[in-house]
Amino acid sequence: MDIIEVDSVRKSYGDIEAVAGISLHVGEGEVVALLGPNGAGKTTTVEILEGYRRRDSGSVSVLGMDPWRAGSAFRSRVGLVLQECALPPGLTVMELLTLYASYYEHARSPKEVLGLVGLEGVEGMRVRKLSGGQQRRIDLALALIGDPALIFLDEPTTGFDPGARRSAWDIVKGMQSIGKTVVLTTHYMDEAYALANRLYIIAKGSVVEEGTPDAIIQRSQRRTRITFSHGDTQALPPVDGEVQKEGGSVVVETDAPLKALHAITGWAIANTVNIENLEVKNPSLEDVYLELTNA
Amino acid sequence: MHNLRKLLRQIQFEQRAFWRNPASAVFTFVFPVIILVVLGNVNSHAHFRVGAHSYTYDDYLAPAMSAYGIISATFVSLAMILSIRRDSGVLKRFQGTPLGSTMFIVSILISSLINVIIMMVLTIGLGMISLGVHFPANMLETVAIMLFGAVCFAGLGVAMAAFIPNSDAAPAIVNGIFFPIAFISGIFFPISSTSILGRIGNFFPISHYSTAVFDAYNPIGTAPSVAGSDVLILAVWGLVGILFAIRRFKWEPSRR
Repeated sequence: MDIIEVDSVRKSYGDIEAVAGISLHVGEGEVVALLGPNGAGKTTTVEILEGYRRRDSGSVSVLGMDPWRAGSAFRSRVGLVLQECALPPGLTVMELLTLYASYYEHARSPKEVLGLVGLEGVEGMRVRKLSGGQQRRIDLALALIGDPALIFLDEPTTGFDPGARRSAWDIVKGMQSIGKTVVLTTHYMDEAYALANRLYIIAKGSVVEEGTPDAIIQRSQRRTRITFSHGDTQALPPVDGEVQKEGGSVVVETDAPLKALHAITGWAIANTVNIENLEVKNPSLEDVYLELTNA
Repeated sequence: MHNLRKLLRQIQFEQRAFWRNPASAVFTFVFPVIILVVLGNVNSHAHFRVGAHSYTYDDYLAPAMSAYGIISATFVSLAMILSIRRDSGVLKRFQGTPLGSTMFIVSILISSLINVIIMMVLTIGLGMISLGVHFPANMLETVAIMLFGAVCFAGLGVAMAAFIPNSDAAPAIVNGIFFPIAFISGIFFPISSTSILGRIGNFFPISHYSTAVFDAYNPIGTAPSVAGSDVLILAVWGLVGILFAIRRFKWEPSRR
């Protein structure tokens, strides 16, 4: 049985339907991303799974329980990082971790979770003295301290600099390697691509696409783009695909990139044509995402 | 055993969070102490009569300041802390743990009762040392009525938090309600209960609380015993507060 099973869930706030019939499932040990623009219904969906919100209709099972009705038995097996990081400012890191550890029967040690989030040596510091990124990591450490089977991360790296982002990704990958199931929301394509085994693209409260990142790209039937600087299209050899001029460059969109590239480079060498800025770009998740979410 | 340990840890957390926030600790404790010492010493020769008995101002002020301090440590403090924590998302974060909402509320109530006891010792002690006010005539009754009021005002404080839209508004709303009512309830100076201000004040629980505390404290040993009507009105307010708190308390910031 899957760890999360969601069927046709709906949730409205007044006249606005935030979640308009979402179905999804998450298997044990998977990292699943809910990807979508702001206001797509990701957070509402996750908060229904976390037990913060009550669905209007549909069925939800998380760890075999209904999160809205399940009490501390559910809470003790789930770790949460909410969209906004809120920690009591006056406590030291150690005091906060020890406090949270006391809520769980089988807690990990504060030292261990600080190691997991890569924040050793701040034990004695007051929370208010930590940087925003450090507080976010403490938030993550709190989510891990109860040794949960399932972890929800709601936009875990929003506002991070690129370095902090990479290390947060490493932490998430680390969680997966110790057997945790992770559900995360993000509006960053690269994040979903780097972390998720599977993803659900959500727009306007509905799932518009799901699968592994590569499968989604493949299914979109987008073609590989080959671009290079060259003044004149007329002189080009015939290639299998669509040839366009964009400014001073030539763009070839093709389903057979290897053949096309071979034709172009062969022609260039044979005719001693100097082509510059040669670039081959596979269809990206971003292209697919923009296409799906703008629809 | 696990639950007891959880409770003690959570109370310890509440105490740390309180004392390490200078604004809350100072506002709650320093203010009543300063009023007690300053007003008491400035007006120490004033006399007035309640019924057939004559009192000095200091005899009047010391128990009133205990009442004031206790309300400050319960109603004011809880309304502030809870609305600030709700707004910043700390409450929501707690709600996502197996701590449980009952355990959370019980802990913060016990923590504020610890502050109430400190406040009792501080105000009664300072009244004796600084103003020469007598030790309460009936200590047990005094402590009982003080704690009873503390529970009622704690309930009202939790209920108040449900009314506060966001944490920026909290100090203005809470103090804007507390100070004027404390004033017309005769906390700082005696106000005749037949005057217009006195009649308005009598609608609220503060005047009944300070009267009950005064009657129990009875610094010169001739005051009437605590009136049942004062205790009853206090109990009704407290009960309404507690019921309202249970029904309307919110854990999440209202941003939608």
